[in-house]
Amino acid sequence: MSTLVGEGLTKTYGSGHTAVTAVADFDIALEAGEVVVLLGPSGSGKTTLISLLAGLLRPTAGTVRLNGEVFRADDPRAPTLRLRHVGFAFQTFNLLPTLSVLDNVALPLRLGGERRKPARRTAAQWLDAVGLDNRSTNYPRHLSGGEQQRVSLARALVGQPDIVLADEPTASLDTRTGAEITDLLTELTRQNHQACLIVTHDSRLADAADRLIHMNDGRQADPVASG
Amino acid sequence: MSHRRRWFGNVAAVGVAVMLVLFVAGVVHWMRNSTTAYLHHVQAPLMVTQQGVSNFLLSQSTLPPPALSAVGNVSGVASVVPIVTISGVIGNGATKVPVLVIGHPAGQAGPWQIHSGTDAVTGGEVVVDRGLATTLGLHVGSAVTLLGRPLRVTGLSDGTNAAGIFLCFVTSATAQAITGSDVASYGLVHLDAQASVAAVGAAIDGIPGIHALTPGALASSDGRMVNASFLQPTEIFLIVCYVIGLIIASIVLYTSTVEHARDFAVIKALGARTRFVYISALFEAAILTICGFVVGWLLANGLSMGFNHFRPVILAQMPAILVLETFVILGLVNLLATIPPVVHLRRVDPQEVFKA
Repeated sequence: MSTLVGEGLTKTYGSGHTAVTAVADFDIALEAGEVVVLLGPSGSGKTTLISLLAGLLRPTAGTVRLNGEVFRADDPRAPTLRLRHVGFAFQTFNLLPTLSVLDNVALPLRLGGERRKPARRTAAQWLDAVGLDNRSTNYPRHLSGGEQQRVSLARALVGQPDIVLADEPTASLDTRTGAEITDLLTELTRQNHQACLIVTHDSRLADAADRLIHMNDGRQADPVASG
Repeated sequence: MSHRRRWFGNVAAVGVAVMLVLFVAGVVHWMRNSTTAYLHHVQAPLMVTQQGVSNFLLSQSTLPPPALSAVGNVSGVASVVPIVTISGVIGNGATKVPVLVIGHPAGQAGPWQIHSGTDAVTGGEVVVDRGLATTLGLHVGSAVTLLGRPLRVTGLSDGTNAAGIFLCFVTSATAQAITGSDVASYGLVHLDAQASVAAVGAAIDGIPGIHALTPGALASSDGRMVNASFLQPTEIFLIVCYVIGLIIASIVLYTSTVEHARDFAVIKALGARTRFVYISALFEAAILTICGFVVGWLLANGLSMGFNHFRPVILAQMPAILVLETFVILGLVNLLATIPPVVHLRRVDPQEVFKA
């Protein structure tokens, strides 16, 4: 059984003449331990698709299944399911500036109701895993872009989610740091047998993929046609 | 600007609003208490006034010596101390200030707290309130003119500024010399050990033209009069301060929340329940309110001490109960001010996290 499945996902904004279809009849399935790279140019609907898969946006048509269960954005259980099963890495890291590095990593555990001490202990282990055990008391503003993305990865993985959704994780980084982050993300998710979807416009990330999906104008595209 | 600086800026803004509210509330408290302070310090179970007079401030009571003698003859009365009050003008050269002059026997019913000099007033001498002294530039030994009569300042008193009506103390003889008659205005009645206040009061009320009441009753009457007259503008000003406080708190809490909208979007995207987001916002508002209140309380105390030291014509009294009461009211005001930010948070779209 696939970890995360999107079937016939369609998202249309507006109606009538002004209607814009951002994602059209898109099928996707992610397996545990697999790294999938979704490649597409800006405006191709990648962010809308990742929002649909993360249960942050309700599709106009189609279904998302998480571990076989229907995962709906308007389900009151959606936040809890997301917290337990989905980890995020973002282009702009989205670390909370008021929290220390350690507390940023511990945040998903704390949101899940875990007590501060054990949550911090687990967070420290993940900071160690991403090579930042010596920066735990620093605040995000004290870190470089690469370091912030490492913290973001630790936060994505700390709750041992079934799937990690990474939105343009290297877009704010230089080439070398971007490659390091990609290696770290794919290595850790494979090691932990987690499904990983990397959404990017950077074709250099294709090398990291077990499977590559091209997207253009909201649809799966032919790799040659999409460039 | 860094998050920390912005936070301190927000705390300072709330602090200034709190200072404004607390200081004005303290001034209202002082005005309410200071107008009756003299009556609370006379240390007599009963006072007598001319029939029909039930106020001490801004009132005119006349008790001729036979009337006081009649009171002294009532069974249970140990002694009657005559007090002369005169609404007058005190001057130091060109500057003149209205005052309430209290003529009292030496050592009785005079100033109860001396800031400097002495309260042992003899003829030709006067003790003036410290605020009045500041206004007129007086000090111990200064010469003043009270209703055209030259006097020398022998002491400066504290706590004798009755909401802007400065009290001056002279001997009964000096007061009577100023008025040109031997009448008193009020009488302080001391009782025998076993005498009942109610019984003696009733007996005194039986004397034609004389009314007996406790200093507390006289103070209550003055308090009501002050509340109904010149305390009202100050209370309106206090309400305006609360409204200003609400506006400042609303702006600060709203901007603070909007600044953190993306953080709340991240928390929502990670999987926080809406309730958690609201609680986080309320918690932040509570921390801001508490820190702002502490800063405001310190600022208000500093302002109060500054006035008390440099210009004691208007004072602010902030007892613990008033501080607590203000904290509760401001807490409710700030709770009200968190409604717009919470509504804003409700609308924060977790998809914001995908925006670069």
